[in-house]
Amino acid sequence: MVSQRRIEANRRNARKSSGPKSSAGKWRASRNALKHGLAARVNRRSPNGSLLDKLAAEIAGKTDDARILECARAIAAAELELELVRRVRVGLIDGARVFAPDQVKGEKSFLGKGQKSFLGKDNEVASLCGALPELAKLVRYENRAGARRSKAIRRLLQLRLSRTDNLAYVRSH
Amino acid sequence: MIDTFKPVLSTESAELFESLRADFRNDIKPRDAIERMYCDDIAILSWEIKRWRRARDATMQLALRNALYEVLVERLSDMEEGQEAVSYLDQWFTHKEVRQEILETLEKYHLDESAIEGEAFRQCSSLVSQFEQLLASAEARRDRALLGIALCRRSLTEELRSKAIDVVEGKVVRLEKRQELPRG
Repeated sequence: MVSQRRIEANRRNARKSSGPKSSAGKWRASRNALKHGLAARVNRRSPNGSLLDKLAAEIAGKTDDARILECARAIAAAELELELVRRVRVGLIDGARVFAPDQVKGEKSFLGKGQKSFLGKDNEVASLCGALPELAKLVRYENRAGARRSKAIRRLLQLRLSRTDNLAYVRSH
Repeated sequence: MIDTFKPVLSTESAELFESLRADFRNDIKPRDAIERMYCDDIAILSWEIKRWRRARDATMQLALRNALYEVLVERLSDMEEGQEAVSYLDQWFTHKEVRQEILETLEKYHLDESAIEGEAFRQCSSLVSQFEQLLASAEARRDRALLGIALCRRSLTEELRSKAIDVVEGKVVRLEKRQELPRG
């Protein structure tokens, strides 16, 4: 059985290490699990917030229907996520060309020692091959953002249609 | 949708991409922001599809060079190792006479061109299959974008039809009201 002295000591020690206190520390700790940010959803607080609002307004058009506005925001957020994934893809390929043109996984070079990779150096194919493992991983994030956008678009179209039907019903009665 | 974004690599032409996007916009004539989003998706994915195809074909082409060396020097030991053999075998792609000589060499071992192609595929099969996966994924997403435009247009048609019915029914209501009015 744990003694009262031990319990109190545990409590005292726990108070000493109960996480960051300052807002800067909390902000830093909130990013502890962040790897690349591709799985995170774009939200109002992100640096792209103003772009998100602009895009959402363009998608929604002239309406004051809260449900349509919400759908438009979801579409805009997914669109920005898609754009981010595409930017990362371009960066990966260009980066592979500049930083590690010789590190191509999956290539079997049968030329003798001292011979260069069959893909050559400083060419587009070598950089694409170099980035292939990461490019394959990106597909998952692109598909997810695309599916989220499609779902929101379908809902928006349904809402517009039902709104038109409702207006027609109201006008005819 | 986000006009400033161009998914072009540093080795690709931004002008060519812009031209492709403009062609798609001209052909599809997007009517609203959502259709424009799908239209840009189609342009971007078509660009990427071209890129993956180009990379896949170039990878196979480059692997052919390695395969020539592997078959004739490493496996058959028909030629001496070294840069001289590499330079000679490189002429397979440019000189018909050299190509014929190599084919004759292969015939001695009851082999033909397919032995080189097979070896090339063995060497780059992993890369080619990864390009194929990216290609399949991009093609599937492009098809979904096309379906998305079709869905938008169908939705618009239904919306317009609904409005048209509304207008017709509105007229009917007005006519009925007119009939109720006392004549004369």
